[in-house]
Amino acid sequence: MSISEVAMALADLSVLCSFVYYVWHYKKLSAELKAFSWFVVILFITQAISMGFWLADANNMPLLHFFYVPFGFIAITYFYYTVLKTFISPYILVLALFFFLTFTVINSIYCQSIYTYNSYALSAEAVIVLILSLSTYTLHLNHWVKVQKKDTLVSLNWINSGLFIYFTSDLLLFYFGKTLMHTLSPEYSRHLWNLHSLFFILMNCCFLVGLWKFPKK
Amino acid sequence: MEVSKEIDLINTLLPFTGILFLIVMGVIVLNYQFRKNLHKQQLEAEELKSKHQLNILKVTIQTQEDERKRIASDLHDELGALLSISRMQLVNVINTHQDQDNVAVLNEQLNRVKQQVEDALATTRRISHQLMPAELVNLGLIKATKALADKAENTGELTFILNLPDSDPPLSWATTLGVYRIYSELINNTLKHSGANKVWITMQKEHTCFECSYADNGKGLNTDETSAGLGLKSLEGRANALGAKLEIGNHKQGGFRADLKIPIQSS
Repeated sequence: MSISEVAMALADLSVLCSFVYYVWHYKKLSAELKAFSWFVVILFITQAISMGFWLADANNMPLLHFFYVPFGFIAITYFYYTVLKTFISPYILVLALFFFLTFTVINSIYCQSIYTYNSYALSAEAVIVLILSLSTYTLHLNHWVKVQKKDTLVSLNWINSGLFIYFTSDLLLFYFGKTLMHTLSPEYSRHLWNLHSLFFILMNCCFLVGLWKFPKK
Repeated sequence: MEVSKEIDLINTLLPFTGILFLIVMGVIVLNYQFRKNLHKQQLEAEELKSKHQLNILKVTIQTQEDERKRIASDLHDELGALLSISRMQLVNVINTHQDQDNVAVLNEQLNRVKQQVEDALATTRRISHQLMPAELVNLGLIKATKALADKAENTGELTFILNLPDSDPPLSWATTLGVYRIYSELINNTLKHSGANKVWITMQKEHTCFECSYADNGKGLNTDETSAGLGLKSLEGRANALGAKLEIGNHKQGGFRADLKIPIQSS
């Protein structure tokens, strides 16, 4: 078994674990974690279908264009909406959602073929998620917020860290991907994808720890 | 080839710097929003807390006044009545036996008991009056304040200059009682601590509020003290419970002054 195959298998396993854990505890979760569970569900569905495509030796990129990127972003925005709703105007998130969805549709139709990586949309998604994630970190440093969110703060910080780590690697990989592919040998390119899988696993581990730290009363 | 790679790198790195700048700007804008909303929420919470404390204070004072009323009523109606009956019976006994020589000693003892019962009656009346001032209940704030001043003048230590309206202001019973108690406490403080010989009491109705002022020509407040004493804190607590504004300080010419402004609508 090659390193790439091991990385892929571990990535699939981490998604499966997150999905089972979140679905199992769904009823006991707070509003923020319930909202986040939807992202885990979307992640699981994407991973399951793409595995089916892979087994059928078919191109799974359309799934990325039409399901994972738009619906994943809706789920992430909804999660940040529940976390930040009392601190920012909801119109900011609605506006971000509207512009991103418009952009991703235009990108898939006119810019990047649905059979290739929609790196522009993924980069744009990463930028918005990083803004939300970094802002959430700074918000959670405030004493007033710490008191208000004392039950969920640790969990939210773990989940936020997972998203931050993954989307940072995502942004670097998809932004510099094209340049690196041209510059580096195919062997190194494969390692880059292994690195991406590693960050994906790390993200799912953060989600699991986040849920584990949540007081399930 | 190397040059082409470098150009590619510059072409890639420059927009990436732009992306980083975009992320930083986004974080700054969101943080500005957070700070604004956090400040607003903190203010709202503080307001809620102070409202809650004010309500507790109001309820506490109201309960205290109700309890005083009940005790005053019990003292006056039950204990006072019992003592009156006892006194009447003693008078009867004295009248019945006053002509017989063998009961001279008994008469003397009964007279002593009668005197003690009369003292107890006077004490009951005094305590009852202190708990719920009869003048205030029967005559209203203006006349009760005049009576309060008369009593303090009778000590021979103070002269009062009163500037009061002819009729009672349109205040609720709780506010009327609060104002009376504040004046009572202020006069008590003047008698105890100030060494003053003149007191000015003024009450007047303004457009939206009822203004009560109090001043004396004593030594005034000790400005070296960093915090208000228990008496002054109690005055402030009473004023807050009435929804009124109390300003306490010294006159430029010397002497203590207190100004109380009660909004008419909150009374």
